[in-house]
Amino acid sequence: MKKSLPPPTTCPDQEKGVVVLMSLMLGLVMIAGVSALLVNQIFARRLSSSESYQQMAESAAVNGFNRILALLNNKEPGAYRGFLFTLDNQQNTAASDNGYSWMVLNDSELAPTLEEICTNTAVGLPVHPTSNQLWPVDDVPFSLDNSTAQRSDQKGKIQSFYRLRGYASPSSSGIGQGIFEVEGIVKRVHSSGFSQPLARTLLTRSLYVNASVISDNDWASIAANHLEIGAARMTGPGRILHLVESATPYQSQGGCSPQNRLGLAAGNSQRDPTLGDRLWPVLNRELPPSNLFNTDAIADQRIWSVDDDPQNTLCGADVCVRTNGNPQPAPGVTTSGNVIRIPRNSICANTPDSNPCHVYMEHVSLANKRLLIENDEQLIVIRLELPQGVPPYPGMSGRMKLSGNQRFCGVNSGKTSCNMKPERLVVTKTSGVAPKSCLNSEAEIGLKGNSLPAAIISLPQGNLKLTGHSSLRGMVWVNALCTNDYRFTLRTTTTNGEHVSAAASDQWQWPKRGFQGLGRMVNRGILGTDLDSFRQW
Amino acid sequence: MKRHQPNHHSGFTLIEVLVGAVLLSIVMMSVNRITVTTLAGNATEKKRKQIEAEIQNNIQMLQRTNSQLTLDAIPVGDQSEACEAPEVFLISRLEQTGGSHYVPSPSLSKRTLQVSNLDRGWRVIEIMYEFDAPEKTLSTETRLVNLHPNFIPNCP
Repeated sequence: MKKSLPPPTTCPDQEKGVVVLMSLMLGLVMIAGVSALLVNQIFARRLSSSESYQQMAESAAVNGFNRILALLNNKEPGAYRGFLFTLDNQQNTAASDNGYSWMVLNDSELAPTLEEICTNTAVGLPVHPTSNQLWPVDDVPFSLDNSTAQRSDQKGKIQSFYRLRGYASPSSSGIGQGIFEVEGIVKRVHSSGFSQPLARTLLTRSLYVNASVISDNDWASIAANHLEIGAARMTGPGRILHLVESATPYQSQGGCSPQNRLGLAAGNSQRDPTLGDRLWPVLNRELPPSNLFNTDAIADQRIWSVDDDPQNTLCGADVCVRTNGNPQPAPGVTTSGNVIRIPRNSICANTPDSNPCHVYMEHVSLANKRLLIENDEQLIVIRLELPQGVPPYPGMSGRMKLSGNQRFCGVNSGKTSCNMKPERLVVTKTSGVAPKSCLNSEAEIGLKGNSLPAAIISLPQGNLKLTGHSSLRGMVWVNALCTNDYRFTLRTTTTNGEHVSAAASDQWQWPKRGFQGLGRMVNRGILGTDLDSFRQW
Repeated sequence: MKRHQPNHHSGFTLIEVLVGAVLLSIVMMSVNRITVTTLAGNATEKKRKQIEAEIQNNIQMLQRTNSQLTLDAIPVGDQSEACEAPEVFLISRLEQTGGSHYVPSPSLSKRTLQVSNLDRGWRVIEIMYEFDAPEKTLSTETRLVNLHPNFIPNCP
């Protein structure tokens, strides 16, 4: 039996358009999907490579910063460039040097003035590896060797560069926060030499710029605003810091020569050929305040006076003390022949040895006798101050006059010979008028011979005058040093051979108190003060 | 009279079917190729990201260790050695297996540390990462890092 097939179903005419439309839509959706996938993939790759270049650029910026920092922190003698920390280096078209102070270091007209005027800047800047370009403001490649390209493709080699966009110094003193802006650049360098930038980033990084005296040779054994140093001689390491108000006398040809420096300090090298080399002129620097010697200090509550002239004695003894009333002979002080002894327990009595004792002396004049202060157990600071706000007591000078063959020195308990420990005996005075010359000014301290054998003299407002050839072991930081044509000999080391500054730093805990020293400073950049920030474009 | 009816049984001819099949196969092959390329690209991209991320992590570890290694953090007995040759000292600490400042090398790239002398006394630590690029079109790649020992400024 023959089966008849069912009649084929046909699409009604009115639905044929819908089928076509649906087919087209389906095709469109498929094409759109595939295209989107393709586009997505292409963009993802581009984005990925762009991120990769950006990372390379960030690394280049950090690397460039580290290279610049390594250069500025270089300790190699003759390659010191730390002074660059004190100079801004930012583009400024209004400035004669375009703002780039680093690049005109040795330009006779545009060279910036450094606080340490005679700093040797001849070392200059490193040479840029590409001719006619300047380090570090033009793109500096990390290597000229093509083998170190970070990536090579058919189009060329991918290489990174750095350049310094700007540096803001903390101040001319070189202490504080310095801010670097270093740009990292990634380029594709074609074989033809054409280079195409692929990514850039700007690193802003701040660091703490510190200045400190780092060697005995650089410590100021003498520091003064006004120097008439004459035929002085220094034995041992140390510098003579000349605190000047103008750099002009040193900026001419040969202005920083030892002879010129010596001439400007009214000195000569007859007795010490190194004297001119030791002189170090600096701008805008002040003498340290006498509170350097205040660490945990205790003050003796009485006012002392010393005079070995029987005509001038106030109390019938060589050493007098007073509080509110009339001067009295100082209790505990003994006189034997021409030796006056101030024992440990007669000053700052019943106080711990670990606390330095400040003794206010409104008058010291010795011509015939030796004054011995026991300072082996307790540090002693002699303060030559007159009482403030009231008229001085009759006959009181507020000064120290030492003449003849006598001594004013620190001794060990029970001993009569000076212990020669300058770091344990400080003579200071905070008040005064800071005379600008040696003429017509009375000496806060007058020295002659070996009358003050070992001491640190700190007179930010006062002057030290010689009344005869003198010698001293210690340090002299005074407003004015006037040798008056007498010969001054300064020994800068202790009897152990240690520099006095080192012994004083230990005794007075200067590093702990943030005092970085007085003398020729070395600037260094210390990382870790702030966060890095990167800017991309 | 019998009316001639249209032939409703006529479908695609063999030629039409063959042409359609060829066209479809071409389209499918293209789509397949794109899919395969996409999948392969994804794998390459993943590998690259892995390598780069590992290097970046290593760089950060080195920088962190450098910043932690201050002069105070160095035993007093070692300080003079550290200040004498700071770059060599830092490298020795970074590579000292088991040491407190040890930073291991990344596993997907080769790391070398050396002192780079740029000029008189001007030195940095140069750290080079070398790896084979996952893309077939690229060969060996390098990444470079320079370090300046953090403790140098505090050396006497």
